[in-house]
Amino acid sequence: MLTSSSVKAAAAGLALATALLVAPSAGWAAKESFAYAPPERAPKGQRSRFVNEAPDAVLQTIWTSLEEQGFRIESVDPQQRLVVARYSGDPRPFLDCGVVTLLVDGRPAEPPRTYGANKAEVRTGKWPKGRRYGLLRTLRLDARLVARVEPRGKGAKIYSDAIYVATKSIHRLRKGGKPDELVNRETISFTSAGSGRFAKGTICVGNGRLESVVFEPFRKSDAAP
Amino acid sequence: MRPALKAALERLRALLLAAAAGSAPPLPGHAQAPAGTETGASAAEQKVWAEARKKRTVAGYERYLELFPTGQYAEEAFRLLVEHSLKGRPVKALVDVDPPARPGAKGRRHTIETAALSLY
Repeated sequence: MLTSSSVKAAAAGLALATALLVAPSAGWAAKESFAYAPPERAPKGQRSRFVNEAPDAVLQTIWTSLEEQGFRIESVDPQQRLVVARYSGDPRPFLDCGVVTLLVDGRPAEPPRTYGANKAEVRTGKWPKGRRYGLLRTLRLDARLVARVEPRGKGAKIYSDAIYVATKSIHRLRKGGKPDELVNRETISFTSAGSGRFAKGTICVGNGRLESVVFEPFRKSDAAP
Repeated sequence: MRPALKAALERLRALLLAAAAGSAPPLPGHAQAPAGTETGASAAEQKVWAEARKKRTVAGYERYLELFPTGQYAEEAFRLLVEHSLKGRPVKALVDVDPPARPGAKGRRHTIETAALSLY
């Protein structure tokens, strides 16, 4: 796992790796490949906030709020004042995996096509052994959010931390764009304070929004300066 | 509201919360570390984790996470849980058949390396 400080350093290194992703421009058909730039943000780590309310009431509010926001509640422990919630689905709201630029015959496509590497679904192709294979790349996020409440004087301190598991799958696409064989699957994991790296070099970090959902029911004015 | 009555209501609410959540009390001798602090796993945690690794089942990893939601192996347990839940559809090597060189002949089969089809 990479640390927060190494993400930016990796950015420079992976710019070089971009050249390796560029396919040779031989053959009659225009060949697609990708240039990749890793995320510029560093992981934000565990988040915390003071709230001027009783700890038990804060725990109850967090529980209700997470349910209302569509998270699946995995467990609630009133003794430890702990709420564990799960998210499964589109990674875009919570993950930053850098940016991908489509190249055609080794040059940026016209008009330029740049998109986040955190896209849930991308259809493209590759040319191993001189033949084009249509491919479907999917990215799924499973995240586990832990909110913990501690008494602090007359109020409460909330700690929010998450575990991210990102799964990249590559399916072959048949005629008509129908997904067929699963040809590759890779899973990475990291916490709020870290980042994950797929074998191909794609780096993902949490963008901090997942940890922040815990604080949403509490107004800023409730928090200590 | 009188303080004694208020305290009694607080206790009742905590009990109801616990009953609704079906949460397990901490294991004997196991004190949960505050989030963000580094402590070694207790003997009880090590035992449950060793059992989960031995069984290699979704239920085993779920049990560990239920008992030790912020445990030392929580990240690995959650990743393995997700990986196991996705194992329904296995990864296949992509085998392709070249068209035959002449009519009636068999096409040549060749395997496309997974790495050749990998994407960012």
